[in-house]
Amino acid sequence: MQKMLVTRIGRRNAGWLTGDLTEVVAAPRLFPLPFPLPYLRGTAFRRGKLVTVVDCHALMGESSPEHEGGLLFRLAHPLSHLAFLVSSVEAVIPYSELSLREDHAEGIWAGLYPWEDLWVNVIKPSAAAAELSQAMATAIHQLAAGRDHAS
Amino acid sequence: MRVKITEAFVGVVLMVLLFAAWLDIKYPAEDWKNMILKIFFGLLVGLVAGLVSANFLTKKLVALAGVAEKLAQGDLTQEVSVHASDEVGLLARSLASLVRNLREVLGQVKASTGSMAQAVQSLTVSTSQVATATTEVAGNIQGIAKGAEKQAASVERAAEVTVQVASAASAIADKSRVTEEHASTSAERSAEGAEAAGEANAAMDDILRHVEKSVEQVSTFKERATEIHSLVEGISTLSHQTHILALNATIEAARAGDAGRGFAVVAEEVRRLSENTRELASQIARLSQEITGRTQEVVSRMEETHSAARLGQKRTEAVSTALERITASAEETKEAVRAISREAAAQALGTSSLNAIMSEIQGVATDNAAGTQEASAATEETTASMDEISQQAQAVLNESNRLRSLVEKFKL
Repeated sequence: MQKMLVTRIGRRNAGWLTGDLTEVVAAPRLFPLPFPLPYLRGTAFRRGKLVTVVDCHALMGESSPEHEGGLLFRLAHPLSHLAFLVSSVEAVIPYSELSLREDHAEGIWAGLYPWEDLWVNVIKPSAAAAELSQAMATAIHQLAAGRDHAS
Repeated sequence: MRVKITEAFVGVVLMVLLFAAWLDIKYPAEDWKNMILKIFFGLLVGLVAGLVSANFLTKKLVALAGVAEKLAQGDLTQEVSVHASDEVGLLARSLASLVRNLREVLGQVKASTGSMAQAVQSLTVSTSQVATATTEVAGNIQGIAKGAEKQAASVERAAEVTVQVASAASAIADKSRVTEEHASTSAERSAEGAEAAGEANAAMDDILRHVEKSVEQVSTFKERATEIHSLVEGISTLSHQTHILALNATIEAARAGDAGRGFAVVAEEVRRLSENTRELASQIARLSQEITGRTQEVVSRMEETHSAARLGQKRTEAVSTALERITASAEETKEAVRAISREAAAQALGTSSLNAIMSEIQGVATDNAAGTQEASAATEETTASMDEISQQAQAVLNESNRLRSLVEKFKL
């Protein structure tokens, strides 16, 4: 049975389907990356793998919480090298695909899902991973171009 | 001239009579011729003798008349140069004696008028000085009289003040006795206060010990609260981990599909338990923090109480010391007030005696005032007498000057 983890990211509620995740852990020690992307917080080792950690607040244009800690949502295979850093889990609610309103699907969002008297923006991890890969490729390209120009 | 003829005629008649008498005696029976011749001769002799005698007498008398004329003019410097043993000589000597005596008398009168004028002038000056001095004395006596009146009034007021002082001294004596009683009461109260302060000091010691024990116990509470806070943090950590574990169980249950449905229920219950645990741990943490804060406040209050108790103890000691000093001072005050009471009683007695003396002084001052008034009247009478004497002296001086002017008409 599919469920959705509701998190608070800035002014909006973001929903994570349990089927898209492989595990939830406390935020580990992070190692910074040499990319000029503000939402890339760094990398972490998890179960023998190098995992890239993305700050959801920065990704969605919100200011990151000042306090350290939080939870790390590691995506399921084949995106298990990506993890999203969130503050906390507000609720775990049952998920029914029939209730998803896909008319608001755009970019990394799969649609809106009702929760009590609120709406939850359901994240589409594959789209997020694709945009992230695109942004990283662009950054690496610009970085390489800058090095060539400098040499 | 008429005198000379008269004198000559008288001399002739006398000579004739003397000659006729002599003839009658020597020749009593002669005839008439002889008689007439004799008479003629006698007349001739008598005439010659009378003329000679008259001339001789007239010359002396003229000299004496000249002297008398000079004397009548006031010239007493004339000397009578007629020397004879007859009546004219006697007259000349009498006149010379008269001149001498008159010269001597007038000389003495002149000298006396000069001395008298000087004396009268001196008397006038002295009278004036005496009058001035008498006036000054009168003024001084007037001042003395006024002073005596003021003195009498002052003495009367002093007598009144003395009566008031006597009354005040008596009141002071009464108040001193009351104050002495109050001082005794104050000394007793101070001693009681010192004893109470000592007991309060002991009580403050007990309070300090209790407060110190309370601070220790509350500090123990604070330590326990800190331990509870640490335990609650551990529980929160466990709850957080349990929560994460439940989330992972939920994920695993979803992955297992229908087979994991029951496991999902269990995972959900575990997640709720972990959330409840976290909520309770959060409440306990808040309570623990509140307890810690309150305990810190209690510790602060207890420390303040301890400081206040310590300060109170010091002040109680100071109060005890002050009360002991007050007790000593009250004893000294009591003795001093007792002495004041004795002195006030003596003062009251002395002021009573002084009052009697002041009454006597008042009588004397009144008599002095009356005496000075009489003296003032006497000086006024003396001043009037001196004025009269001065006027009389001036009159005498005037008479003396007039007498001297009369005497100065004579040449001495």
